[in-house]
Amino acid sequence: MSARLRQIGWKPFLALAAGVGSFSLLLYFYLSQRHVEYNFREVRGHFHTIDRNYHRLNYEILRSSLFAYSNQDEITGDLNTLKDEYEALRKNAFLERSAYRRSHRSLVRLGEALNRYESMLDDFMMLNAGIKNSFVYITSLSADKVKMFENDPMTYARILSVIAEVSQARILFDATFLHDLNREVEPLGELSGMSKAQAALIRSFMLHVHYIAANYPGFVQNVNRIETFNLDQRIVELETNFLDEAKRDYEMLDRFVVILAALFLTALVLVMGLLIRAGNENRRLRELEGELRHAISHDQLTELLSRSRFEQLQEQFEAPYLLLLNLDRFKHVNDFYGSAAGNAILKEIALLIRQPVLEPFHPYYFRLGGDEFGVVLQGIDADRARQMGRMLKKSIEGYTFFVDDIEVYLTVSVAVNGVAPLLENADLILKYDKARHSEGVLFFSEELHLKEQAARNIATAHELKRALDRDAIVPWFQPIVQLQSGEVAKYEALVRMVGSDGSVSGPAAFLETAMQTPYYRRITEVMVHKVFEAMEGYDTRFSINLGMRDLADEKMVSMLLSLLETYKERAGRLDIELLESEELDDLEAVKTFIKQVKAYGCRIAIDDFGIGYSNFAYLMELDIDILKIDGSLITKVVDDEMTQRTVRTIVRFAKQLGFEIVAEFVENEETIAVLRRMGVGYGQGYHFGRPAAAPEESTSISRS
Amino acid sequence: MKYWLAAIVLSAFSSLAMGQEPIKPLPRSVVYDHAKAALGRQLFSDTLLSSDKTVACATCHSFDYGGADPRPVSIGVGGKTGSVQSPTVYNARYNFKQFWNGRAASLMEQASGPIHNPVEMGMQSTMIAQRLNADPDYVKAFAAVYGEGEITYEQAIEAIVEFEKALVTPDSPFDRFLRGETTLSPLELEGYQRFKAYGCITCHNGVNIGGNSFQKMGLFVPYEHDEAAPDLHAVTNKRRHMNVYKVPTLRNIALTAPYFHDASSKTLTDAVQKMSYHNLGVELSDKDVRAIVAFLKTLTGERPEVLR
Repeated sequence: MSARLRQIGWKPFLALAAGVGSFSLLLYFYLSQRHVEYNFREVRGHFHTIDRNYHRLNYEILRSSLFAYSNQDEITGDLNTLKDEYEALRKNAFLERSAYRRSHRSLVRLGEALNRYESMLDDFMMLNAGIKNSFVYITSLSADKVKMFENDPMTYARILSVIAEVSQARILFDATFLHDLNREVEPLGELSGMSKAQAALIRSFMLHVHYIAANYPGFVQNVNRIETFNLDQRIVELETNFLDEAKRDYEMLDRFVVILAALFLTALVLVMGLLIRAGNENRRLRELEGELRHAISHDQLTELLSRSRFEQLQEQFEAPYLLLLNLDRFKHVNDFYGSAAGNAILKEIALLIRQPVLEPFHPYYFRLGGDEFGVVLQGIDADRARQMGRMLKKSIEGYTFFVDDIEVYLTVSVAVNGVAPLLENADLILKYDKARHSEGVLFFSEELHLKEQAARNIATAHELKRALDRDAIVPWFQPIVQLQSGEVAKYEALVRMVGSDGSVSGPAAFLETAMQTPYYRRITEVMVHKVFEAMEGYDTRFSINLGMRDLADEKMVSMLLSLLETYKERAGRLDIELLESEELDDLEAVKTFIKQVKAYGCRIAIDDFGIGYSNFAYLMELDIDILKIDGSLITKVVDDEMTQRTVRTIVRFAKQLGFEIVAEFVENEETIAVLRRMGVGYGQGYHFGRPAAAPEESTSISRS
Repeated sequence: MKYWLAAIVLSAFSSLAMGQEPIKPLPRSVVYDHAKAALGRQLFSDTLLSSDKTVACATCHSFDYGGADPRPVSIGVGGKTGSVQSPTVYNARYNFKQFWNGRAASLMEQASGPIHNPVEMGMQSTMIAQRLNADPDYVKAFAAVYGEGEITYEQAIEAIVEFEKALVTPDSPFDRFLRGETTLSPLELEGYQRFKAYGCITCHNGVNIGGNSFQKMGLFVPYEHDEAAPDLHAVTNKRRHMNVYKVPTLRNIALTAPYFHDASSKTLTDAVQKMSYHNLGVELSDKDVRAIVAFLKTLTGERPEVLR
């Protein structure tokens, strides 16, 4: 997940970079385009002005040459404008760039042409003034002043002929009409016989004729040169080159736009790709979230709803009943067949509990713990709920599970509860149920007083703690008597708690509670120590009760062994009674223990034999010395034929194994007689003596 | 060709239709920077601009003599004499080029000329800037126009040019005649007609009545050429430009004697006769000369606003 995030991490930055890049390029493009556009317009503006002024100038020149007088300010003004515009172009940095090399060369050529043009104009202006003046002067002569030569027809005709010739040349703008002019006026130079006014006129006339003859061809040529001058062409050439090069500039901008567009599209595609990818990621995340939610609310193995889902849902249930199913000894199935088989069985149970008959009650199915299933039914009454519980129990227990073709049967405890808190109360019942080894379905009701029981347990635990602190846990002793001789063979130490008011209570009042607390060990420790103390000053044997859990407790065992080591003489007089009713979890540990204590001369007894899960097999494996037959058998042995037979079988079995036999609860002489006949060696009970704080006190009553 | 054709048709019609006079009146007022011009006026008359502090611009361009020099040849620093008569500074902004031979294209170029000329003012740009910066009054005056900071030579020249642009002499009787505000006397009017008929007008036209073309001195009858004369030939080195000068303005001509680049005419009458002989190829009668001089006298304008 994080790897994938890292993987896509750089792409948004790429897209961002592409975006920023294309934006900057766009900006650059915009500015360049504006720059090019602006300069293009400016340069073309100069072209236009030059062109316009050039043509105006030509017009003014013509005007100046045609009219007798004209305002030459126009000419000089236009020429100056032309030169200014040219200078502006020369100084234009845009045209200085290498892309405009050809335009620049054209510009230089235009400048050269402009200089030649200006020079031609200067010549024109100078020539034009004299030419015009001469033409005006000569043509004005014909009007009146020539009349003073009327008396000299030769001169008169010659003057008029020259005037006509000059006029023709002027009108036709052709200097070839004047080729003979100088020779024609030559005779006029002989001024003899003329009046002063006539001579002055002739002088001026000849001056002007000579001037025209000398300068008119040059003037015509000059005007023709101006007319055919190629400045126009230079301007066109410059403009063409410029347009050409500007076009390339624009084409570059065009290419730039294409690149820009490509970049932009790439960025766009990238962004779209990222969006799609982000969408996919999102979808995957949502799926994953859904799976997680499902995983939390559902049990992965059985696909039933989970315990956490139960917590969520329980507020929404309407008038619910919880059927809590707990598989008995399921841990053993797992240990024995393996967890794979256990899981397969759990899956089958998940299917088994989905019974069609539950459907009308809107059932919810939960796996609440390892081997705990829950069915919540709604809108159902107590009786029907109990009935459903029984039905479920029956269908599970009647079902044959197979593990590798081996048949496995399961039993299940079912609690039915409609009282909130649903699960806690159902749990309480199940514990209560199992503790009492009761069968069937237990129905929760307030009458069970489970809560009070719990409160009592706590009170008892407090009482125990106080008793331990006050050193009020003490051993009481009850004699065990040899039935043949009536002699006290030994004393059994029994645990008692002395209340602060002096009352004495037996183990039934506190031992079960103690087993749930750390006080149990301290009780055992106190008992062992105090029994060892009590054995001093006696030569009889003593026996002490230990549970299987004591044997599994390494500290307890080593404490006992060190006591045995310390008091070797007393150790040889100590019997250890094991409660047969407790489960034997670790047979090897028990064997080791027995071996260790026997090394000190201890003997091992099995207590309360004949009830519960009595197992003859392991008795043979253990190195047992004494078998104590349970009191419930002994009290019935006189009257009940079946019990008598059972006891006789036990005795025969014990004798065969070489066990010493002790009968409990011996309360009268008839019983003693029966037991003697059977061959029971020892007896214990009120008839011989009640338990008391000291061994001798316990035996004082009996001895009858 | 078609341009020419169009031009002919156009000009023929326009001249007929409008009957334009080839001379234009001066504008009554001109646009210039008054603050800079005031500063320029001060500089124009200040000898501080010449090396030995004996000469100012106004030394050779006297406002009392039509903006020109009454002496035949101007005298510069150290009493050095030049080789040409000073032309008028009045209405110089309307000349197409500056100096007799037009070697400066603008007033800005022109203004720097005499200052650096060794026989005129003989100064260095840096020296002018130094002197101006050393003068507290100028520092203050320049600061008012150009803001705080070192006074530069360019600023000084610009101020002088701005002042020169203001030296326009409007409202001469002839200008007012052209605008239809007054009439000319019969003699003056005849003078103007002669002026046009003999061809003076071909060179002396436009707003400045001259100053818009080069012309050869002695077009018809050759005029003696002085090798030392600053003619166009001195600029272009072309033979045909010998004795070629910028046609001078005729405005205020009555005030600017002596005449011609060589100051060879002391009177207007003489100048008119000399001009018509050499450049028009005519010998004018006394009557014509009188009339033309009368006309020329109508070209004297009002004193420029900036000097009032």
